[in-house]
Amino acid sequence: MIPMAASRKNFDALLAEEQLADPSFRAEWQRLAPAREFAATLLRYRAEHKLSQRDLAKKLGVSQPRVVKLESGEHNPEVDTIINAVRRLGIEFVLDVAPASRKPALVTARAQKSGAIAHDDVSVVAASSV
Amino acid sequence: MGKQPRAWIVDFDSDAVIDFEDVKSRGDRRAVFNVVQKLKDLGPDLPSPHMKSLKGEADLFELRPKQGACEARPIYARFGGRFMVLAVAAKKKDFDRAVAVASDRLSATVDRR
Repeated sequence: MIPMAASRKNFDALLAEEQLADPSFRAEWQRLAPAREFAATLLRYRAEHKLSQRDLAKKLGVSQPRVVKLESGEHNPEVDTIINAVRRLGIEFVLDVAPASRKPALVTARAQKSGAIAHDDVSVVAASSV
Repeated sequence: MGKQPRAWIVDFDSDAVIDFEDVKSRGDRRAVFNVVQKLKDLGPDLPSPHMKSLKGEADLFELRPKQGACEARPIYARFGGRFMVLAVAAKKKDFDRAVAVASDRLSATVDRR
């Protein structure tokens, strides 16, 4: 099923090239790593429970446009927003920020593997149980 | 869901990389990277409105950056545990052509296997 002969470029390589060519994109991409992980968490939950954005909004006690914003991955969520989602969805979400020079010590290897984003000067781990 | 990988492999057909160069605005490029990352994170579980099946094209799907608010549209297909972006429409007016091109590239890709 894998088109081995096709000439292709991996998405990660394309992303790395864009970050190299555009430092402002790189900074923004790094800054929004928690937003993307939180968005992916809500999307996984929605897929797993076969919910529409409207259904998820009802579960979270927010408006559907608010879910659109949270799923965009373009706005880092406030701590209160994370706590509300954890409370209402019964999930676990972790956010760990450490100096890039030091390996994060407060989160599991599983969390680091699934959600670690290296910044230029800090290491951010954002991961969830979903 | 628990058995699904945490991240999928997403490739761009080399011609789709060239298509993507036509997406000039920084905001649109960011939005495309963002939605492709969602495909990488969610794979076949990525829900609407971030993706959509293409009518009349059983094996092709469109990614909808900014949940449809951005005009750019990567067109992709699944190959087992991997995904391939086959074409990118930079603007709404390019969409039909991009779908046709993606369909041709899909056939060529399958033929090469």
